[in-house]
Amino acid sequence: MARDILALVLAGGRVEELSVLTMLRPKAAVPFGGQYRIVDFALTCLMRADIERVGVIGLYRPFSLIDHLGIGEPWDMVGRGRGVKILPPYQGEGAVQGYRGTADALYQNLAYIERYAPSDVLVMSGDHIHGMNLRPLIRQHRESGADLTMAVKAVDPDSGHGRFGFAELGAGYEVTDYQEKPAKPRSNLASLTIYMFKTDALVMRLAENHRQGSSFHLSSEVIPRMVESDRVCAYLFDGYWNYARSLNAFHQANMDLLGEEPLIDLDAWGVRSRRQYRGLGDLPPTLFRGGCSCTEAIVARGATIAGSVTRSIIGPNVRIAAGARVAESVLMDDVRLGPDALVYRAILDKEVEVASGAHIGRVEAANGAVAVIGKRARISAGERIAPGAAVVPGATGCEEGRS
Amino acid sequence: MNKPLVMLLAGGGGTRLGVLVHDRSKPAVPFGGCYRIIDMALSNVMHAGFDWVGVLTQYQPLSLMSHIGTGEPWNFHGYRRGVRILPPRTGQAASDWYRGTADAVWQSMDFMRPLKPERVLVLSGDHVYRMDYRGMLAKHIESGADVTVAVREVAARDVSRFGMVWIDAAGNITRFEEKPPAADTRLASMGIYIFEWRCLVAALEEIVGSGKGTDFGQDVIPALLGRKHFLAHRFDGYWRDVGTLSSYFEASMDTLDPKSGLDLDAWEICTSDQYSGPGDRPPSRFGPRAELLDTRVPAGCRIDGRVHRSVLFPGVQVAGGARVEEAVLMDGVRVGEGAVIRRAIIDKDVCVGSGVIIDGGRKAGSNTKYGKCDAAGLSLIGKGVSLPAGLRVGSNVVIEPWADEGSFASDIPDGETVIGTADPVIVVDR
Repeated sequence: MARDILALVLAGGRVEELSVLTMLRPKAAVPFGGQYRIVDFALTCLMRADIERVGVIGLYRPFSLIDHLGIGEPWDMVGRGRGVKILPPYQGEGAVQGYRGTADALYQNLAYIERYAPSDVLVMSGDHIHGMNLRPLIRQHRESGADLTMAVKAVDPDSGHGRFGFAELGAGYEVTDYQEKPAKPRSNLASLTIYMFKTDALVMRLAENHRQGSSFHLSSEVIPRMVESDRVCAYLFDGYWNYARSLNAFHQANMDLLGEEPLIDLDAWGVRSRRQYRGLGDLPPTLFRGGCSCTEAIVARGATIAGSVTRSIIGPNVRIAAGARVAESVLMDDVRLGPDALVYRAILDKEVEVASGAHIGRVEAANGAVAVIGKRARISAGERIAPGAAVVPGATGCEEGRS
Repeated sequence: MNKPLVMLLAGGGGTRLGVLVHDRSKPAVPFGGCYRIIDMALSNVMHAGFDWVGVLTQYQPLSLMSHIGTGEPWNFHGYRRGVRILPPRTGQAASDWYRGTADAVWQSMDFMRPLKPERVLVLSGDHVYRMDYRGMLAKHIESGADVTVAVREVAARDVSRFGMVWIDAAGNITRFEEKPPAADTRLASMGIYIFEWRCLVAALEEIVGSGKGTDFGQDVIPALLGRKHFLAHRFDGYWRDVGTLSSYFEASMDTLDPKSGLDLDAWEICTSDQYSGPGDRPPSRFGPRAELLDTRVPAGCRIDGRVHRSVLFPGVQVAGGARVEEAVLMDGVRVGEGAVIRRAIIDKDVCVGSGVIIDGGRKAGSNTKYGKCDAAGLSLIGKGVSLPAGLRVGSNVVIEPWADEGSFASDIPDGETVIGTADPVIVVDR
């Protein structure tokens, strides 16, 4: 059923919302859950729906994504008629510099779409964390004969306004009205930016947008136009969905991995990732030394834990020295914590080193803002990093932005 | 420097590993939480940068074959590199099976000849060690030796387990005795040999080809000694032949303390985890009452109980209130609530019911069937066994793979063997 569907994953954009975590990589490539990257969720959903052709539209510093995707075998996208391709912006006849928006990115890749002549095109974001089963959406789209089926989810309109596009539904899930980021939503059904288009309708509307658009985004121009003129239906989704729109939301998404029945169930969702190029397939089992403690945590391979860890996500190859304490935090690959270091409500990017006795966050600041330390930064012995502070990647001493 | 062709001996049944080798060869026995024993030798070869490896298999080779695959994890997959599994082949000779280590290499001439090696490095697939063969190779070439044998010091009480070596002041081997009852040398052969190609071919032709012998240690080395230039290469690092249950268990415990010399975090061992699925396993999860001390935990585990001095493999679950101490729990073992496990090796997919007590490690009489496997009371639970709630299992107990639930109507006393129902053909290790 999924053979004539082409999927396009929007994974390129540089975003500010994750602070120093996305300074050097697109949000889709941000590490998550100990051994994954955010884009793994989208790719896993596609794999589980048997979608065999995937283009990943990358723009901003795509090499970590290129490495990560490889030839796509972790998501079973290798073989006759299968494949995953990165689609970077290009120069040449008809191309403008870069992608001017999501609709423009699709427009510039029309040749890729037309080459495979799929009957439908599934467009989704590579930045979102969810385990959506796409099969019912595909089925509904096919049965309804809609030109566009968009996934929506009920949210609290008071907290969602200004962040989502909202759809109003008529009979048969038909979308009768759509507003992008309205100040006062008329409905509580937010678009999850997962769209299934009939190819012909998509091609026509993209070309139209290219000729006459005032901006080149799907959500602000193409979708409202289609709601006006084409048959647009909604697919109601009520599972977990998180787009980590702020550091605190990203931190919360990490905490959602924990607990007796975690909201993000990596095992049940069957999330796949690539670990080979980082050597993660060869890492020894994590060593828990005498005197350590580790509760309510998830821990990847290759770590050595001699200190105490609670309510945290510990990535591959992390070293936590005796006397160091970690709580409600995310430690990505290769983080080193010296003796008696304290990390409370913080996100430490890869290869961060925290020298002995340094404190990141404050235990008294429960539920406060999350501190974030950029890749390869070094925190010196005894240093204090305040809750909510951000340290830029590679920083080595006391400098601006630390308080 | 011309790279040697590597011939890796991986055929052994290893009867002294008891039910662990019921349906897999010794080099395929899981080790260290996510490896198999053969990964040590394969990783050493990879780090030395050698290109061609022949793996000589014979006993239950299927798990080994799927583990090695294309050899990609050890970088043997390439245009001018490769790893080949060499099972016994029917030929013009009557014997289809390898009759010994030297016979296996002799029968693999068809693999070796087209590669035109100048030298052959013969390795054993069932040792745990990290060694850079390039040092040994450089010494071999520099000295002009025909054969170089890696040697190490062993305890006086262990001489009867090894091929013992006597050397002169220049490090040349003057005498060799296979497993002598006593010896006035402490240097033992590690079963690692570099042969000049011509010397190897001539020796195999002369000794194996004419039916005078089939084994390197017993036949080939003694026959060549005195006629050929034999060099000893001393190795002082961690090395263990994990051919017995107690040495396997001790080596497993050594992975818990890098000071033992077995430092998994520094050795850069490569393995293939794709075929068996742990590649897709999520990171391990630890509940609010989890307690871990001196323990190795790979991916995919779920720990709610207390685990001390143990090596866990992917997918192990330890329920709340359970206590595990000095144990090796292989892939997919589930330990129920309140169960207590002390000094045991538990093979894949065993289900330990709630409240079960496995009390290995007390001095107890020999096991009734596997007496020669005894290791200080250690109890051994074979693959796929399901122990019903509340069962008590004593020391030196062996439960064979897939033992029927009917076998557990009453507690299992010290030294008892529970016979399995397994047909080895259907319990292929996956």
